[in-house]
Amino acid sequence: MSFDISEAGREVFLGFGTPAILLFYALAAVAIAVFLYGFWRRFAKYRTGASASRLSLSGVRRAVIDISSQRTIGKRDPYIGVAHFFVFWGFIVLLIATTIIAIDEDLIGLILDKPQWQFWNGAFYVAYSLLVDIFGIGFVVGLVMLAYRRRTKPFRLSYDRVDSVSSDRRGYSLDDRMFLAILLFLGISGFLLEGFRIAATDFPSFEWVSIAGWLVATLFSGLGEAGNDTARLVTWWIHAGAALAFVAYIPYSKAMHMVVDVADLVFTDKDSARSLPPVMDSSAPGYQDLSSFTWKELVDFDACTKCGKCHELCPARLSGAPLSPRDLILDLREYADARAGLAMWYPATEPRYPQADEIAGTVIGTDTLWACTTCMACQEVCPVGIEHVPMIVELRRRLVDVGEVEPGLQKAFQSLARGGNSFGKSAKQRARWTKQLDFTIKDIREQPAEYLWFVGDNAAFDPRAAEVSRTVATILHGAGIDFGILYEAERNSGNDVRRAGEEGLFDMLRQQNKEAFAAAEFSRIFTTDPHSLNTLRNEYELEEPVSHYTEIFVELIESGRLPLTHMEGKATYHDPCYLGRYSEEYDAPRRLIEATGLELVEMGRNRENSLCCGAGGGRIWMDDSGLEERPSENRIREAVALGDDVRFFVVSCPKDMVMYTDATKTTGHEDRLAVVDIAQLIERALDSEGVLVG
Amino acid sequence: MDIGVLLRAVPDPVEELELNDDETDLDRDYLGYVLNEFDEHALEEALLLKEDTDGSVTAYALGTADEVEQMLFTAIAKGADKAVKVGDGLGALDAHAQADLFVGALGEHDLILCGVQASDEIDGQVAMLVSAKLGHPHVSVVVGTSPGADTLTITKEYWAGITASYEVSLPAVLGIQAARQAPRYVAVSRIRQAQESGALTETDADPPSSSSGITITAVRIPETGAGAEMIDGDEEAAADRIIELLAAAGVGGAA
Amino acid sequence: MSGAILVVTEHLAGSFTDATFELLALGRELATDTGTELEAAVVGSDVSDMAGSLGAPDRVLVIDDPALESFNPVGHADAVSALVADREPSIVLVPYTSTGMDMASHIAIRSDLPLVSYCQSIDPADGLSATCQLYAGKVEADVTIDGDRAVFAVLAGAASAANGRGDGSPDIEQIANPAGSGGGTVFTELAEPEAGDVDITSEEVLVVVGRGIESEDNIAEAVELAEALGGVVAASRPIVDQGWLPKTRQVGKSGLTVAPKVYLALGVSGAPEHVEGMREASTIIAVNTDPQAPIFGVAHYGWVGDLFDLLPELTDRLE
Repeated sequence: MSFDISEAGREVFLGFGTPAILLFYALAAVAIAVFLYGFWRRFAKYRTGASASRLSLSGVRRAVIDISSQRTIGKRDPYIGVAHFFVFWGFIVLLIATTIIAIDEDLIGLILDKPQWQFWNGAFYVAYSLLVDIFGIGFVVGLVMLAYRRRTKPFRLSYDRVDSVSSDRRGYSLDDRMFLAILLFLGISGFLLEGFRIAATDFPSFEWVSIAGWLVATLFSGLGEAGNDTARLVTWWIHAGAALAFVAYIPYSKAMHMVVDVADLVFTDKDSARSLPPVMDSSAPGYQDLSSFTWKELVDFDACTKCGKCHELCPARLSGAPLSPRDLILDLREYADARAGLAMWYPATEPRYPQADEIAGTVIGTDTLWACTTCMACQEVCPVGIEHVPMIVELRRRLVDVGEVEPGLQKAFQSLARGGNSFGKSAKQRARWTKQLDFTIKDIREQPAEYLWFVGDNAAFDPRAAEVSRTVATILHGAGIDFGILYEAERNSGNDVRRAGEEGLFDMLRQQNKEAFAAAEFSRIFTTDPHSLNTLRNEYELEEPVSHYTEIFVELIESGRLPLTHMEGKATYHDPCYLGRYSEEYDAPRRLIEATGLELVEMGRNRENSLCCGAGGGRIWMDDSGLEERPSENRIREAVALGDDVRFFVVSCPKDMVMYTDATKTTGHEDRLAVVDIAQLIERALDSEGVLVG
Repeated sequence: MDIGVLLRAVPDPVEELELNDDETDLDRDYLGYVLNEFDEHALEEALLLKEDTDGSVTAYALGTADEVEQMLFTAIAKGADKAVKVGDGLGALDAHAQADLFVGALGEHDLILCGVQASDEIDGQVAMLVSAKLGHPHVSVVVGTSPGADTLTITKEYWAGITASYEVSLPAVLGIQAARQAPRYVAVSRIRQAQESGALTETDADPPSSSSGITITAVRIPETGAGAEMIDGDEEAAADRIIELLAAAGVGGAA
Repeated sequence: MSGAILVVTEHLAGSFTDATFELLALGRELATDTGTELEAAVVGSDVSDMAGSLGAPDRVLVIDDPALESFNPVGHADAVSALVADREPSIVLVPYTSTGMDMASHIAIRSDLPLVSYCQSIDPADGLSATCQLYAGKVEADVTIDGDRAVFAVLAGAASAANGRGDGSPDIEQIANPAGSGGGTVFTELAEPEAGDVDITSEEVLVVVGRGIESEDNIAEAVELAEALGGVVAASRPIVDQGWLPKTRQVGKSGLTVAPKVYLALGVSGAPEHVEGMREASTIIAVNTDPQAPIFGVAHYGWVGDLFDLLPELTDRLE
């Protein structure tokens, strides 16, 4: 097929009289005004937020990649990734097309009145038309895919609450469907219009590039010239009307996510849970009322698209606790909107406690706040950069300040303030675990050493974890590593104290530890406890590097200082939250397991997607008896389902040792699955036989 | 209602106790002290009464240990209006001396609360010694209070959950076994603020006027906790021994 | 020794408590050792008959006052204090109980006598001395007493209650209440624990079952033993998790923290989470088939063996 490309172009208001054109512009003006008003109201709401410095070049760069690749949306769900990619890029290309027309027609043609400058013609017109149609088709296909997913009623899209609060969320579903329907309608009516236009202009040869339109035109070619014209005019008004309605609808609906989520991805801080914000005003720690939330957090509330990824994998939600990160954000959004007098287009869900100033314990229940394990799975999976964990911690800080502390947690705090450990033990007993060793660990307060081993509470006081500590000590001692410990001068690192909201106590513990560090001579720190690892690395502002013992073991094995014999059997590995998601160390433990010769069989939820054991963020100190199924039990069942030949559940965190030993018992799998620390595997691989006795 | 609360520092129960060289006392050189747990309940009950009656609370503690100031700051942070540290560097005192010093330092109060007992009160309970010295009405083993017009309704626990209620006219002294609710938590940051509040005053301690009339001649650490005493023999021997142990503990058919 | 040994009795709802009989047993030993008389003070309303039922003392001093029908912290303390001031006994034995705590200090201060608290034994030979428990039983202390008279607040278990029942018929001496009737403190009502499940934190005897109990049906045997001991059954977490006992019976980290007088652990391994909730128990007796079970690390007494062999033996002996 050939055509004269110089003739290519289109007349936007083909066959329109001046009144019709004026009517269109009037309607467009109204739609834009409604949009701007809604947008301004939202923006004004964000401006009431507390200040936060969030703009960075790296953030922008990351956001550009995230958004253009849509990788955060497709994470572990390629179907949605592809569908949303189609919709997103289709929308962008169509939006650009509309923008081009606006510039070409309205700005250059109408306002500047320089027809000779108009460029929406010729080769550019043809090329872009082709692009628009290809992406337009993708747009419609993507929307259909999304609509189909919604039809299958996946769990994550159910808006049923996990707490006992009743709230009517039908508006949310209505909004979801409306949003999809409008977009789908715009896409399809656009193709129809294109087809009628092509037919009305008598099939100009260059228009074949408008694949879909050409097809429509061919289908409807039987209408005849008059019929075609009528159809085109009607479709034009319907399409334009729908488009303008959509513009007006954006800031009052889920469609706002197109704007807000771009901002959220630009401004999100991936490290905000790793290194929690300090308390600004120690006379009023934590988030008391809405004005405490930063503008970024107010944006977070609106950014949520209710995709439900966090809701689906949250270990608290999974165990029957009254926390769903999604509901947390939605409750805060409803409250913030009610306070700001903002409304969505659909009947609002009943805003909870609109008159309350206090948020912790009212808008968000205390049980909900205490349920969080700070595992960061929600934040990791959130496609739009919402930061749940710091918000929860800020609200917990408030609870702690007003003395509303979960009883188990209160006991732990008191023990920690008293003896620096959560076990209620005297500080003098901290190094008691070393007494059963047949060598003496250096007292680093007296003798310098290359490594300071920060032992941590569980690894020192829990008998099972202390057993592992002795194994680690023996292996490192045997490999000639120069290390020492602080003996009774060590205190709990405070990682979980801080995450439980007791900032003053955290400050105290950190200060005590740093004083002890200052009095010792060493060049590196290591710990077996991923929780301590996180806070030492990210919240202690230390000059010395901090590593996890698995990283040191890998170095030793690779340098040949730990010769291992080959073991046989299958093992699965559990990524601890604070080693995996927090410290992004997934490989060292796996390399160690492989080095022993064991075959590693992964659980479905591994690496970034690992399931929390339920102990983090202070949960290990709180009552977990109200849970339907402890996260650790859920995890053990997952491991057991790998098959009878997987006999080892390998851990690399003292808390995991405690939690999973317990969970194998309560699930009745203790004979079936052995919970072993990586150090224990290494120890056995160092033995002469090299064959594991299951 | 204006309430005075008596707080005592006692050796931290989680510490392993060691004896001094001549075995007449604990080795107190490195001993950590904590607030007596019953006194913590007394403070809680005082704070609850303060809230009930829009009253005020003054916490008193004797300067027997370094940790005392921290205890008083904690009391302020929890809601005590004033805190008084009586004397300084007093070292361990017997209950009679403690009662004398408290009585000497006490201001006018409608009610005085103190923990029902402390683990070191070998010569009597401070709470009741104070009441005897002041001549105020008293009730011990109190597990709840509720304010009336000029009186206080209190609940005393007898044993095994059996309780009795009393109307007590004020001023009175109560030995608190347990507050109506678990002692509240106070954030460390609030304790730090209390340190700067200026609500803590220090007074000198007058020398105690009475003597307990008893002298500790020797102390020792009983052989428990060093591992269980294992019972040898079959189930009949075990049953016999266990019955004996039960009787010694004052329970079972033998008691 | 000049004065008598005076036991301050304790009674509720028409019967003397075990603590009273323990003190009478102890008092009888002291009276025999020192060649003095044993007297018992009974304060209450219409208590003469009850007073006459005491078999151990040589004499019962009865203060019958309708105003003191129920225990009155002030009234009883005043009445006994006046009695002691008047009759000058050499040794006054007060139970270290809820009522005793209200009286001991007042008696001592009023008569200017030394008071020995947490007392577990008394030695009248060669001057008056005693042994006491301090720091929640972590330390034992020997004390000597200035002079030859003192008030002792005696811990439960200092003597066997059975030895304090006696079969004599003491003289009954009626004494008009020499003091007031508890001015300032008025008894209003007595309350029994509410029906419903027991509060294991306030029980003195707990028979605690762990995994070793094996099945739900076997719990009945433990219940039988607990009842014979006047206690209740509690459990470690696995048992409650199985739904064999309600949550209110769970001891440990996620359950309740208990500190009973006697903690009889049957088939409880003693995981740290469990031990956390029971290590303050006064007497811990553990039974487990595994000699390495950590429960033996915290127990005061242990027996390695099958709890199902032991249970019937114990229950038999108690019935």
